[in-house]
Amino acid sequence: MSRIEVNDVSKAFKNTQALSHVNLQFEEHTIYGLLGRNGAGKSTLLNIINNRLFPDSGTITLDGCSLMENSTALASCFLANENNLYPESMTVKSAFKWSREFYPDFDMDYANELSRLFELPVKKKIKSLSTGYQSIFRDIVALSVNVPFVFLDEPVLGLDAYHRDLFYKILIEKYAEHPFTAVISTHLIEEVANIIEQVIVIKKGEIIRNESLESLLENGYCISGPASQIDSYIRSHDVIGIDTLGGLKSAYITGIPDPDLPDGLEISRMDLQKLFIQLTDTAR
Amino acid sequence: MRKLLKFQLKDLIISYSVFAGIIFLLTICSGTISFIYEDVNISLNGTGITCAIFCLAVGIGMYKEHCQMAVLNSISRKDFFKSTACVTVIISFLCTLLDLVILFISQMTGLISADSTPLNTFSIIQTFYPGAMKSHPAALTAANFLLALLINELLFSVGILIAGIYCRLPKKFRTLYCIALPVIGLGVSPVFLVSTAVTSVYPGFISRLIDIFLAVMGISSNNPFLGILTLTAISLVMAGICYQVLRKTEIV
Amino acid sequence: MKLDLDQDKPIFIQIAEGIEDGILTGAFPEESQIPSITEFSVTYKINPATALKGINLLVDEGIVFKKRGVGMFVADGAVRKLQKKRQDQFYDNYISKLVDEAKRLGITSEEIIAMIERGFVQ
Repeated sequence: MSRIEVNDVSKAFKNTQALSHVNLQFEEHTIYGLLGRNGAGKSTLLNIINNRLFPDSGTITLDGCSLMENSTALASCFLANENNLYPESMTVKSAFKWSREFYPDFDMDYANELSRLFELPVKKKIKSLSTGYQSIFRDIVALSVNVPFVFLDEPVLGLDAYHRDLFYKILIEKYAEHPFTAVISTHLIEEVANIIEQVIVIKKGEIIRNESLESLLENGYCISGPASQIDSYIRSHDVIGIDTLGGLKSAYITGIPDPDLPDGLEISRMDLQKLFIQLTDTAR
Repeated sequence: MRKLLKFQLKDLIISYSVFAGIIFLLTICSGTISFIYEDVNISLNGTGITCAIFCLAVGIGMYKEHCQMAVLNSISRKDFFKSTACVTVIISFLCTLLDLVILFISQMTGLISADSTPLNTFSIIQTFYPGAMKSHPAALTAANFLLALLINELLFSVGILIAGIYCRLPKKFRTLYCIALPVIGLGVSPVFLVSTAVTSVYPGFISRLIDIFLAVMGISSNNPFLGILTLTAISLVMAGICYQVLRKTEIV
Repeated sequence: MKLDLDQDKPIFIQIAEGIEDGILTGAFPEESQIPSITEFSVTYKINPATALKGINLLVDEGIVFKKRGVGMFVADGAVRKLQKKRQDQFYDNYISKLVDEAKRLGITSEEIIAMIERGFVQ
């Protein structure tokens, strides 16, 4: 069983602590959602795992071998992020060709098929593509390299609704037919909520949740009703957050819901986006 | 590392071909004109220096793009360094070869002095080690070639070091670096070194520096092989420095 | 088959119930093949493991069976099994809630019975 282990990784930039004692494991054949607000440390983490940045402390290993500066181990990983690191004058077609050189399992037919579906102009230079199409290009490469661990940093940045829908469908189809590990870092939580199996929530450089989506949502619920009743109810419960609208209150609670609820209170399932907003509210 | 080497070579061969093509064209045109019109004198010099500058420019120009391409495709910086070292030697060799071929053509077409015969022009040896000219021609050819190769290689490394430092610097210092480097390196430093301020504080400092330089390069003893040794040593040191700069470069 | 992704019910249960509805309405006849896990997950943009979980619920109840190397098929007698299951659950799923709401609105049981009879006539 292949796995990537991130052990006690910390990273500081000037006066900001970007990552603080991060411990994570990425198993094979799983889709992970890496969720966090802007500046929480998602991109830094992905860059460190993929040998773009160096941690101040801690290690990153793949099956026990360090990933840092290790071409053999790194060959099992691919990171697609905002930075266009391809040469100035390289065309999409040429980039595909070189990707096949560097990643022997790169599926050229699949890449061309996806380019056709997304209407990506393969003869154009990468730098001259729009933001959306640059994302599409990166996503196509990421889906075609066929490595065990694929890291996608904001894969749908700049994509219109049609292309976003198409991307998720293609990702799922590929995952269903040839399982691999995808780590998706995104702001669009609602869209990925049904795709991801494991949720990692990062807040100000620290991991605050790292569990399966199922357990995360099962261990939380939302209770709403008249303010006074809610106030008395929450006194004995773990509250993550509260929303108030006049005399009505909604409280987000961790734990398994009580089978007997006081009259007048309504219970509903927590959804991932609501949970995320409450967890990452920096006022708390 | 092989895959990266393939990429780097393919990229640089294109630049080299364009460069070689231009030089060739110039030489052949001038040679033909000089050959046909007896009373027209065209003199073509300095291909060697042109090649050296080409190496410097390529070193500066290729580093960032190639380094990024390497890291993007899961190649470690260590492997990138090894690949770049190979590429440096190969391209330097090709440039030195180009220089030799151009010299050959120039002689055939009478572009350079008639009393030098093919394979008998050891421009570096002639200029810096005149006392060694009495040695065996084969040894001189080899020595001349090696010296030229090492100089090209050294300039390539300088180019890489310049670009390497640029990539390693935080973004806000980069513009300052781009301005300061040529100004200080080519402008301020030489002036400073020979200024009265330095010569008065350290009398004979400059002449002592020059003496040391001439000694290690074998120029004062007319020994080109000492020069080769020193240049090789400097190359290795440069490679070490470049690697140290590369090792901690963050690609973002 | 419509998935309401905001609903309180977990997705895999919705998948299972959606297939059950399809079987009951005849969209998936007995002994016919139902779409693959890949097709379900792509169409509804859900993780294949979730789709698999939903289908496995039906496999466990004997509603659907897997033919190795071919796909998944509706079992013989599935319609009857589902009808029985839903009949057993009818009181909890519909009657309880109906009575609660009626009580809240002050509707009497006689009025409800009259409404039900009206419903069957229409």
